[in-house]
Amino acid sequence: MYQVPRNALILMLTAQTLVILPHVMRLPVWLTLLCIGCGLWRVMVYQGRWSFPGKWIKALFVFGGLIGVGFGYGTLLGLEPWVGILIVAFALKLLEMHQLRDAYTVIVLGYFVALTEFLFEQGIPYATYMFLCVTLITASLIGLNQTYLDVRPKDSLKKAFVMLAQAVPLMLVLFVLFPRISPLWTVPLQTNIARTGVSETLSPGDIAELVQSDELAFRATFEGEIPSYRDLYWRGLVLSRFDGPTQTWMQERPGLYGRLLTQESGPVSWQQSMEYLGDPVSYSVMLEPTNRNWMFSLSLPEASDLKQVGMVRDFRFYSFREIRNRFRYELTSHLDYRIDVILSEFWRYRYTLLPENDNPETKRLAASIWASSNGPEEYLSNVLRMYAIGGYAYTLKPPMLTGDTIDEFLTETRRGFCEHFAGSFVYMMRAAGLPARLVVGYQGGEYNQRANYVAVYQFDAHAWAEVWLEGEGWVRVDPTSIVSPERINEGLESAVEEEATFLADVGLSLMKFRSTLWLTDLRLQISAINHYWDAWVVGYTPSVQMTLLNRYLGDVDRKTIGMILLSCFFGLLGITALFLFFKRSQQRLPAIDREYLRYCRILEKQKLPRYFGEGPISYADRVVQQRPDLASAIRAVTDAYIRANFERDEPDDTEQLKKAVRNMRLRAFA
Amino acid sequence: MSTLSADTVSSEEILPELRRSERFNRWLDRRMPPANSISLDLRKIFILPTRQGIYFVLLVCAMVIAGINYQNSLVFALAFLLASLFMVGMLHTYRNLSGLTLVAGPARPAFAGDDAEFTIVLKRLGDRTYESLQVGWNPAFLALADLREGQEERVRCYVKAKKRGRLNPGRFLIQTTYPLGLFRAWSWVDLDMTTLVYPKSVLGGDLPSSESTGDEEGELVLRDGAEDFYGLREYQPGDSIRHIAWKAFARNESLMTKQYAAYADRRVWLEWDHFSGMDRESRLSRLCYWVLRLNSSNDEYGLRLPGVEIEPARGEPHREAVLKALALFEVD
Repeated sequence: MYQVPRNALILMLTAQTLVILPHVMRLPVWLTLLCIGCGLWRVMVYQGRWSFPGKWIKALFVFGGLIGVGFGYGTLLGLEPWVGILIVAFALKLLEMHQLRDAYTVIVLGYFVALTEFLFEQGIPYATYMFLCVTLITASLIGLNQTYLDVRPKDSLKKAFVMLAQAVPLMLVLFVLFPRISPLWTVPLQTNIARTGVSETLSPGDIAELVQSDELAFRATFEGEIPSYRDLYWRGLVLSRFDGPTQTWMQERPGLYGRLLTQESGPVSWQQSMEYLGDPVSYSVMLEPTNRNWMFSLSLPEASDLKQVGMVRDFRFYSFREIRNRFRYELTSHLDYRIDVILSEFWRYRYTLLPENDNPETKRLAASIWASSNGPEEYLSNVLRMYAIGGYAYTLKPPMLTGDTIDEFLTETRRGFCEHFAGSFVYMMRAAGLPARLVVGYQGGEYNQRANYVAVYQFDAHAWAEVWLEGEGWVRVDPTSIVSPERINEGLESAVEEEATFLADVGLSLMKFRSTLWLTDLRLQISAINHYWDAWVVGYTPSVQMTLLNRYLGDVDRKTIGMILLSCFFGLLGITALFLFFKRSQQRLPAIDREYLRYCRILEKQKLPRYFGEGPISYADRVVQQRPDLASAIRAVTDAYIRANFERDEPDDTEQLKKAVRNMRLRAFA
Repeated sequence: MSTLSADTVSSEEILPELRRSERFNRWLDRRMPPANSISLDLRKIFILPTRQGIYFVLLVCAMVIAGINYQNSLVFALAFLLASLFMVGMLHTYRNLSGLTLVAGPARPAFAGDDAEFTIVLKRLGDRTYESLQVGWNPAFLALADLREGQEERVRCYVKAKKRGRLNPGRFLIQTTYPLGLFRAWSWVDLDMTTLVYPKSVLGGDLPSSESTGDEEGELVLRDGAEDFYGLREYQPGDSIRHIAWKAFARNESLMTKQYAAYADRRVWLEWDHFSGMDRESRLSRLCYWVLRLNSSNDEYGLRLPGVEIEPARGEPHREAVLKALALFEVD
């Protein structure tokens, strides 16, 4: 029976352990135990203590594994169950290595399991780790092809590393130039991963909870100068319905928006209400997966030619597919703008709608302020003044609200987070008949001067208001800025500095050490590296590829790119071959032996090869008989060689030998 | 001499690829004519993916499709890394043969029906290492060789000697799948090696009667096979260990060899005519048996075949000469 070389088996088991390790978190416990069990069983088989499992036991394992995966995940369709099945096969195949072919199967499965890890994680640490795993798997492949009497895992590993290192330049060529096309068919994606981020409803306390996370939301790279901190209002959601029973702000029903502004739709009527006033700001956003559809942009964005993306009636972008992978999009916004200067009756109605019977105190308050104000603008500033002088405080630990939450907040607790201020403000506006809406997104972000981008984290989540004013259209009003100007100018950390509640629930986070300079520097550096990785490696999508190739190669078509790809690939392969074959050619031989071999080659071409083990003199004797015409030249070379080699070794002898060989060549080919 | 004929090598040992056509063999002979020493180079090495190699390509294709469908750059990167590894592996496999010099080593004659042993010397220039080389005539039993430390490695390969005569085993296979097993590089090399195939030895008939035995008239002959102790002489390399005088050694610490003598002079003529009524091969087989028998009893024997006569003598060179005559008798 075939015996897997010990060398290969050691490497295979190590590689298998390492390659499954990152999956363990996502695997059911029994599957991890199965893997360990199979590995141990294989070791026992190797040591001759146990034998391979019988046919029935194996069948039992296979069906048990399948059923276990089915029950464990509730389904057999989907990414996680597939990976589960793959790992079951990978582990069980260990117990069925009867032939060389089986060992190859294990290795192929190993490569595939390594690949599936990338469907879940794409960071630099994982990529590095997986490269190591691939090196190990390759080493076990090499081990399979080595003479099995030897145990040299280190040699196999070294060889694997050298070969992979030689493969990397070729890989880069393929990576950059290989045509990226859109998916051939839809595939199941991972399901049960909860993403933190803003959600489509907002009740008091939601954002205060969200800002406990230091996860990255997105990075925005600016083409020119980054706008000032307080202008960075990243609009994501517009909530314009207030639901009385749950006291929750919700999105408008999508059907009411009418046509989307998309690449294909052509101009839509409401597009004409967009007036750009200031200079354009161009930026590209790299959005971390949200599993949602909405995208983030600065007001007011220009219409975009992105595919599968449209602009909705309230001037936000919306992706037709849920954003399950990191998503990069380029936008241009004008921070100075006017929109909806004329608002239709319908929208005026929608934006002033409130439940009839709730928050009576707030409605009464609004009525009294309205009565003492002269027109909407004055009413607005009076309401803001109320926040400023009414004893309101900005806190990350707002008291729980029950019943009519806005009444309770405005009149009793008066301590709240941005959603409390923005929500109550919109309510106050509507109560006085002014169209207003709540906007949720992020505000600010961390500037990274190294790469000219702003990193926006979950703790930058924010809510603010937009009010429609006659003659001006929609105007952004942020009541939080009245209560806590620090939040808008410097960010959450300085706003809640006295409270010391910033990221209080997060364990260890580099974000907490923003005041330690060198740590911040280090963090920004890591962040910048990650940014480039995400932008150019992970985010190397078909459109990025086209942009890059067009920039450096001019306007090229697919065929030209194909030609360039092939010539680069095989050119590099040729260089690798040269490196492999001529690096050490005849390195060991001294000059005199090289000369002598040259002379042997000349005679070889005359059909007089030297026999194996034939000494110079007997060779010369034999050849002279065949070719008396070359006798003197042959004798000269032989004498010179023997003198140089066996008598004394002076540079002079080598020179003489060289001369003799040159003479020989002339005579032989005359 | 170089073309392979089914007469000299049993058919299962002709490599399957070579069994195909005579034309292919002629092409091979033109491309790499038989020689005592052959260096493997671009002209002589063939390389193709193995079955595993094809599976590996399919694996890479599946990975690329996964990369496309999941729009995942790192999946692409892994697929491309493995594709590049495949190509680099091709170079390494090729490199594991190229530059290797194969030299005909000594061959050991065999009796018909036994295995003839051929030694192939693998030599390298410089310090390039060669690993997991497989060499031989029978694809099912290829000898394994590494060339990692010394400058040369001797590989013994066996070929079934079916028929009496001169055995030229023709092209043998040298192949390697190292390092990845995804490619197989190989060459069919003819080092122009030959060896003799003696007749199969078959016990038959009595000792031929042309011997002249004489207890009295024969001269005193010292030889190994005799029974009577004759004396001691100083040990010489090559003397049988059984004849060392251990007692004398214990006495005076020098190795002595016991000599035996007989007054028998068995000068035997092995004659073609002794086995009349048999065909040629049967006669040769029986003669062969007697050659071996007489050689081991250290008798003097001569051989008479139609057109061949070898004077009686003894010793290894004589035995070889006689067996050679038997091997080549009436062989084209």
